Order: sequence, then structure tokens, then C-alpha cells
Amino acid sequence: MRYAMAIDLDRCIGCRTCAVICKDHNAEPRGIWWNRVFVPGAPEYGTSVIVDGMPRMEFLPISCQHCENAPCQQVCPTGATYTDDTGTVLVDYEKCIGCRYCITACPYEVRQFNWSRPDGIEGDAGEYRWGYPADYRQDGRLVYTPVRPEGVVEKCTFCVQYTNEGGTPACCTGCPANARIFGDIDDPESDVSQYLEGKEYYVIGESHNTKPKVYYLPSTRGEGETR
Amino acid sequence: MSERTLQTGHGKWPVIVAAICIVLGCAAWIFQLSAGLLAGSGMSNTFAWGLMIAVFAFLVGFGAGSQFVASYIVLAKRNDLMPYVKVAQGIALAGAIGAGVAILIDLGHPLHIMAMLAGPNPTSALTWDMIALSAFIVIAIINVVAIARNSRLLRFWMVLGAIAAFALQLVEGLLFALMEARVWWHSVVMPIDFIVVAVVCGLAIAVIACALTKGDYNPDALHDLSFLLAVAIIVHIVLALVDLALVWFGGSAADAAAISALGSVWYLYVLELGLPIAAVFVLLLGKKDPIKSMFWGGGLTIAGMFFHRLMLLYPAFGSPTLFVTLSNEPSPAWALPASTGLYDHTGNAFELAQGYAPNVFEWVSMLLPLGIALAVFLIVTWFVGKMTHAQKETAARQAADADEGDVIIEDVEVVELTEKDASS
Repeated sequence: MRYAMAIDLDRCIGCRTCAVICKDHNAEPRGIWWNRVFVPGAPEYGTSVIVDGMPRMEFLPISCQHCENAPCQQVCPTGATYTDDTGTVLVDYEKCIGCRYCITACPYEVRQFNWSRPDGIEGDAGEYRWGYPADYRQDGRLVYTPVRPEGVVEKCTFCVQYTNEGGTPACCTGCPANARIFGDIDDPESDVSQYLEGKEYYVIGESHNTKPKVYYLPSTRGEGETR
Repeated sequence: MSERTLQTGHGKWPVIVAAICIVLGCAAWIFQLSAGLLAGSGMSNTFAWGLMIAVFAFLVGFGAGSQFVASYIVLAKRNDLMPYVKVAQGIALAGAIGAGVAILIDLGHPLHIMAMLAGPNPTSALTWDMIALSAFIVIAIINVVAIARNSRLLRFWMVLGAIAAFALQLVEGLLFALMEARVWWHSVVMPIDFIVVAVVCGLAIAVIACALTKGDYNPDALHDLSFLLAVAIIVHIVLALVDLALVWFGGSAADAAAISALGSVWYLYVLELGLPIAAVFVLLLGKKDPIKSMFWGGGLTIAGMFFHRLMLLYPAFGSPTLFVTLSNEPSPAWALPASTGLYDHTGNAFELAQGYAPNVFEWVSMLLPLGIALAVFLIVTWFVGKMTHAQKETAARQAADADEGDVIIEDVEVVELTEKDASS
């Protein structure tokens, strides 16, 4: 079993709902974004870039690519970063020493460090404010906690607290255009396998030989205009 | 600040300096731990390693380099440089321990360090580094004791010391060179240059220390040290320029971004290369006052090596690592902004790259590893001096006892002879 995600760039409308819902469901502290969406080449978000004399605007969502050959896992000195049985790359917050070697190793720049004690997760009266409310452990490893320890690294978990219970990541659930499709890439009947079947797709940062499990379906927008 | 300096009663100032450094450094580190690295440093997600990593690489270079120098003097039987061996060995141990402290200070969650001991990841270069540094420290301590006790196994331990120093620098180099995502580091030249830089650092501090205590060495020995340092610097400069050429002509968008980042801190790069080059001229051409040349040459080299370590960081972190094109058309490769992790301070949630300037807490916390290194060096020189002094006293006492023994034997012989005479 290997969880994977397909992102159809033709469907992505650049609304950044995936980034926000991810932040909400995973109680990401201020300043931390597991998901980001940008227009390649554009100086400002939502503006176009001129290629071959034609304006082009393509939205590209980026989060952890859950690489099979994950450089972050290779360099982690404590084994805090590991790949679970579903192929999801996770961080055990209780083993991370905060050396940030994984941040330097990740070519996708998706790893986030808690530079300060996260606050605002719980309200003034100690009430729950946002995010999945309880710690989530996998084989005893703390892979999600709504109140992050200071000085540890975090990143996308494919919403392990949901997917381990049969659900889908929040970004897939929340995407208004259904641009994200999640599932077991080894199961030909899964949503992601079915969606990718017969279609052209690619991975980003292929030169880094990380073997990502996030597959992008290229946009067809603007093809006619530039030819 | 040699053993001789300590023995002449001027040792209190180095002790006071070390104590002040440790206290101030500790205070700044505690602030960083309590307030978080966000307030306690100028780093961000895009510039994830800062001053302390530079200090770590700087100190470990002096540790390994001084071990190279100590091993060379002993194994090559350079009797003319022998007084420097104990100083070099002290610097070797001090540098390694200081480097270990620097890396510990830099950790975001040092309380989890037991996880590294309980379950180290064998594929991580940082694990190799922990093993190499620990082994080096153990062997350096054994070498200190061997020197202090004038051990007959000293040559054996010096061979092991040199091997440990070589392994340590190799691993340090690999720690950076294996980072495929960072074109500034991802070079086969990097581990080789780490070894050469260690030699440069070890010789630079040796040149300064020997210049300060010039009475202990003959001029030829000092000239040899200066010449060796100049050669090592030239080799390092060549390797650094090869590394630059590999990135300059790399041709990828990442290479171009790294060169652009280098250009933004060109003055640091000029200092990194210019100071050691100036040192070569001073060392080779300063014949009028060789001692002064050694002092300045060594000083310029050490300053240059500090900038060299800082420049490990700027081109590597000052440039993005992810470049993308349009998905369906040929297009330029563009960098994609990354989340900086900063919010209260700069307000820029996403940036292509983030500048870095160490803040005051980083500069002050840097005093902790430096102070501990100085303290270790003082302890080592005190220990070796005390042991050597004790050995001299023991030898003198044995000689005196031996003299008295001879007299007694003569007395006995006299007595025996007398008894024989009496019996006969």
C-alpha cells in the first residue's frame, strides 16, 4: 500500500482553500504553512507571466511530496522522520531534536520549523480553537499534536489522523474544484489510480531523484494560444 | 597563551576571559531556549542554519587541524617543534569539544538528544558526525594523557589521532556535500577542502602560538611552519575556486541562483578569499621581521577561515532550491516561494529567499562554545604542565635516591670487605 495524491492543474483555480483548510485541520501555528500555491514565474500572486509573448497563469500547489527516496528521512539523525506502512513520510515530534538538517535536505522547501513557542492554538480560557483536537499517535509515535512542541520540525502528514481512519486529507476534501485526488497508488481500483489511468502526469523536482508520490496532471490552458 | 604563559603567573586572565564567555554565552543560550529561536536568532525556514553552524565548522577545523600538526611533529620526529605538541593537542581537544557544544546549542529541542543516542539513524551524516566527533574527542584525551605521561605508545596514539582527525573532517565535508538540494554544497570538492581547511587552521594557530613563544623554537622550524601554512592556503584557495567554477558554469537555474546569492554578499566572499591570499604574501615575503609576519599571517588566515565558514551558509541558503516550469510548454525555470516561518517579526509569510544577519543573542551565545574551548585548552595545558612537573620532580628524586643508593652500596661493600677481612 502506498498513499499518493494526484493534482490536476487544469482543475486548480488557485483559491488556496487547500492551504487554509490544511492549516485549520492540522492546527498549524502562526507562520507555518504545510501547503502553498503559487503562480510560477509571476511576481505577485494571481498575476500572469509572459511566455513567448503570451500571458500565462498556472497555479501550482506544493506540499510534502512524500518521496519514496526521501532526503529528509535519510538525513534525520534520530529517525524522527520515517516512512510508515502506507508510504507516508511522518515526523515523530517526540524524537525531533530540531537540528533542521531535514530542512536543508528537502528540495521542495516544505518543512517548517517551530521557531517559537506556538501560541494561539488554545483560547484564552484554554478552550479548543482550531485543528484536530487530540494527539494522534502511530505505533506510539506522536505524529500529530494540536499544540506543537517548540523547536521541532513539521510538515504535511497526508492528514494521518484522518487517513489512518479511512478518511482523506483535508486539502482533498476541501478543494472546491476537486483538483486533488487521494488514494492507494498500488490499488488499481483506488480513486487516484483510476484518475491517473491513461492520463499524462509528471512529478516536480525530478532531477533530485526523490521519487515523489504527488503526481501533477499538466494544465492544458493556453496551449492553443502559444502555438 | 602557551603553557609557559600559564606557568609565569599570567594565567588568570585567560581563565577570567573563559569564565566571562561561558557565563554570557550561557545567558544568551538560555534566552534562546526560553524565548525561542524566532526571537533569539535571525534565521528562518529558508535560512535554517546560522552563525552557530559556522562556529561549529570553524572550531572543528581547528580541532582536527591541530591534531594533524601534533601528529606530524611527533611522527616526523620534528624535535625542533616538539614543545608545541602539547599546545596543539590542547587545541585539538578544545576545538572538538567547543564544536560539540556549538552543535548542541543550535538544536531546537536539545531535550530530545537522547533519541539520537538511543536510536541513531545510520544513513544520516549527522549520526556519522556524532560518532566521528566523539571518537576524536576520546582519542584526543588519550593523546593528552600520553603526552603528559610521556608514554611510549605516544606515536601509536598520534597515528590514531591523525586518522580520527581525517575521518572527522571527511564526515564534516560529507555532511554538507551530500545535500543534493544545495548546489553550493553538493560538490566532491567539499570534503577534500574540509580536510585542507583543517590543515590551514591547525597551521595558522600553530604559527601564531610559535611566534608568541619564539624563544622555544629555532628560526628554521618557524620558517617551515610559515611555508607549510602558505602552501596549505594556496591549495585551499585553488579548491575554493574550483568549487566556484563548478557552480558558475553549472548551467542550471539553481546554480545561477546560488551565484546570485553569492553576489549579494560579495564583500564576505572577497574577505573569505582575500584574507588568506594576503596571508600567503605576508608569510612568504615578510622576511624583514619573520615573527611579526607569522603573527599577522596566522591572524589573517584565521579571520579568512571564519568568513569561509560563514560563506558555507549564504550562497546555500540565500538561493531557492525548487524551480518549476510551465506544465505544458517550454518555459524558463522559476523559483517557487517558500514559507519563511516568520510572522510577528517581518510579516513576510512567503519568500523566494530570506536574508540572514545573526542577531545579538546569536553573537553572544557564540561565546559559550568559544569559552568552553578556551577553558578546555587551559585545563589541558595546566594538566600537562602539572604532570610534566611531577615527572621531573619524580625523576629528580629518583636520581637523588640513586645517588644515595650508590653510597650505601659502597658502604656495604666496605662493610663486607671489612667482615671478610675480619674473618680472614
